[in-house]
Amino acid sequence: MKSVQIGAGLVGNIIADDMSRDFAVTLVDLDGGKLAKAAENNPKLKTAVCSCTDSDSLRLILEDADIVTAGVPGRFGRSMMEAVIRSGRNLCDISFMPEDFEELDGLAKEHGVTVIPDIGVAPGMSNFLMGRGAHLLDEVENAIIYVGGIPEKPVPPFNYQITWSAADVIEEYTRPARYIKDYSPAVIEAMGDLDMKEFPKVGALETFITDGLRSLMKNIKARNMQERTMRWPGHVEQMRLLREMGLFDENKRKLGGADVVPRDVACDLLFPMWKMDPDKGDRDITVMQVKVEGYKGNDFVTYTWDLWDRFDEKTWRNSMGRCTGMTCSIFAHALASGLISEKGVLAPEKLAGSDDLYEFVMAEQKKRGINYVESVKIVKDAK
Amino acid sequence: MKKKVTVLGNGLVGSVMALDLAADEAYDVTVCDARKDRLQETIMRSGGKITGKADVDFASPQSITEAVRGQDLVIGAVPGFLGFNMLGAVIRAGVDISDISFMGEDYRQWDAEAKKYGVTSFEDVGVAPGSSSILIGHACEELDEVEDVTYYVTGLPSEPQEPFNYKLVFSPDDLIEEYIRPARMKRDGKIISVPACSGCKEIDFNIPKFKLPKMEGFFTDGARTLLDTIPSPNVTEYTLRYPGTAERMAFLRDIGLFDLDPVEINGVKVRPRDVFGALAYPKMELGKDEKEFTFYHIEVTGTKDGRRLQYRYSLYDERDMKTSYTSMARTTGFTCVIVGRLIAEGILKMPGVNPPEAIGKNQKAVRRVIDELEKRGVKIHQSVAEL
Repeated sequence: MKSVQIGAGLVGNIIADDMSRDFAVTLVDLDGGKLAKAAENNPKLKTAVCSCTDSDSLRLILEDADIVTAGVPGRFGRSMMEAVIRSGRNLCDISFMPEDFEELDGLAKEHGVTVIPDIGVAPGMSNFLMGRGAHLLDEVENAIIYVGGIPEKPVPPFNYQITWSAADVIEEYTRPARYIKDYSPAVIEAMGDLDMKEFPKVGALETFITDGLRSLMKNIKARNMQERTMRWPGHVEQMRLLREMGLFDENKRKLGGADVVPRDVACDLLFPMWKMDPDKGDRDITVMQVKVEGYKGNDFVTYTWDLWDRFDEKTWRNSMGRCTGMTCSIFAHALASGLISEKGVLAPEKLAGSDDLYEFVMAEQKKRGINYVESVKIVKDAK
Repeated sequence: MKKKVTVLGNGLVGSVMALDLAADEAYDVTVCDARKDRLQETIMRSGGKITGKADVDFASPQSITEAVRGQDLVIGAVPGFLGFNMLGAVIRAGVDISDISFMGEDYRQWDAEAKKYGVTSFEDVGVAPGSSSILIGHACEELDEVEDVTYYVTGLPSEPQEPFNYKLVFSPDDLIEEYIRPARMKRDGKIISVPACSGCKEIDFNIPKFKLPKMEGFFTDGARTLLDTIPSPNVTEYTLRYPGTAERMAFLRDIGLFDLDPVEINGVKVRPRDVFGALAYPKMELGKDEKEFTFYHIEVTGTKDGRRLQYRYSLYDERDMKTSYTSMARTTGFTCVIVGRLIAEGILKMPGVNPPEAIGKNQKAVRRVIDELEKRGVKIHQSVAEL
């Protein structure tokens, strides 16, 4: 079977490689250099230079594809998704678009297409597992996603490293976060409700509420629901200091005799220090815990999934990229094989009702060395 | 006949000193500063007793020499970077000086010149360095043998505000220096250098007379001349801040925000420290009615007549809400004018350029400094403990 991967970024390459073990993959990107490099690393890949928003050219490339996977910059996400739908192809997508992708649900149904958006690790597996927990319970009391992509060991001065842009991270430290409190939407300042929590294989990390629930806000009914991000202890205080000082402000102002945007200065100073460099021995880990608890009949049941994943020494690929890309590829396999038949734009939490799909996903993750450890705690007759 | 004194600099501290002297019938006070409106304000506060001069150029030694020639005394309070040349200009005019201009250069380079002109100069006669140094010099004089000199010093807002928990009571550049310049101290007779912000620990002073907040102390490079003038094998200065400050400042330093080399941001060149300053200094500005305090605690340990003793001195002063003088301006300025008077009265006649600890050898001068400070509401608590 044939598949097309749109976007040859860090994660796009991981998706293409994983897909290429079972599909004839065409990798699409506007940057020919990236494509050449990808093809050099994986001779099985075919490549095509094309903009992800050029719907006419894209349609030709997608013509005989059995499945499409995509990872493009968030701001191009929506128009890319629309172009794929109009081409009548099924899509698994990790592009982090600011818009509500469910607005394209009608269009997808009209074209008889299935789109699974936000299908990385978080969002992605986090949604799927939240959905799974909710499916297994009658009433959900508390649903929490803890997720952190952090360096394996804290490295001063930040104890933090990233594989993507500093601007995105700063956004996370400034944008107020939405969550669910007592069945109602609530908002808290960025990096709010800071606490410390022990995680398997890592130890104590600080956690705070982030704005990552996205479609879960509408699709899961829970008394309390949060996404929390983890960092090595001390990082949040540093970021609060910079934020309160005004270094994350986005308005251009006179600073030291020049008109500059404080946040640009922050990015410029911070990014070189934040950059993860595997050649210098930097290794990342992905730590995630999804915890859904509530009532099943008269019992109070807690479902917990723990993930701990590390930079892959064999493929030299970072953990966050692998956990994200593999999930997208696994769902694309499921979609292509007919395990998912519903049409429309289906947020991952909406797919969680199928036992077969759940078994398939967990087994496929494991095959790729990514282990989600499920545990269940039942308190009988708690009601 | 009245003694003629010229105050160079009418800043926060200069004005306090000018007004202190003008309140004394024995002095005829002239204040030099290019900022006419502020000069006018000081003249008004003195009831017209002060003469103002706006035409003296502090960047021109010649202009300074001409302005102070024939005076009995000069009080120096110019920005640190102008201090060194100002001092030379005053010496060449043949006028004694008591000075708080906080210069980076070693002022003792003017010592021979001052001796040649028969000029007595006392430098760094503020609070720390300043009265603290005088007391350290005094304790060293009292002891037969000195083992250790350790002192803790700070000026802080009484009600800290996040994220800095600090308000500026002196030049912002000097503040940043505290957080970046490696701290020199003396250990077993050798001068060593440790990273700025290191040695950080929470310190509980347990001084019942003072209501001190919880503070941390870390090494700073403020010992200056004490490193080579006093007979102690160990000399350590700690600066005190609200807890957490050293870690935050070390973090800002480590990410390069205090750097002076320009970086290019979208085609525009800026110095990170200027960006920091533009963002942070307004948040560190002391409010008009905001309370602040100055505190130091000194411990000089050694032996005397076979007994092991520790001389302890503490100073705590709050902002004077009546005059609105900050405690930093009070404790700095009062010391400088008191030393100035002692020079003018002939009690401190020591041709040459002298550090403040040299005053500690003069019993009478030490007593006068302590008494005169107390008259102005700045009390120094002294005790001697047998160890």
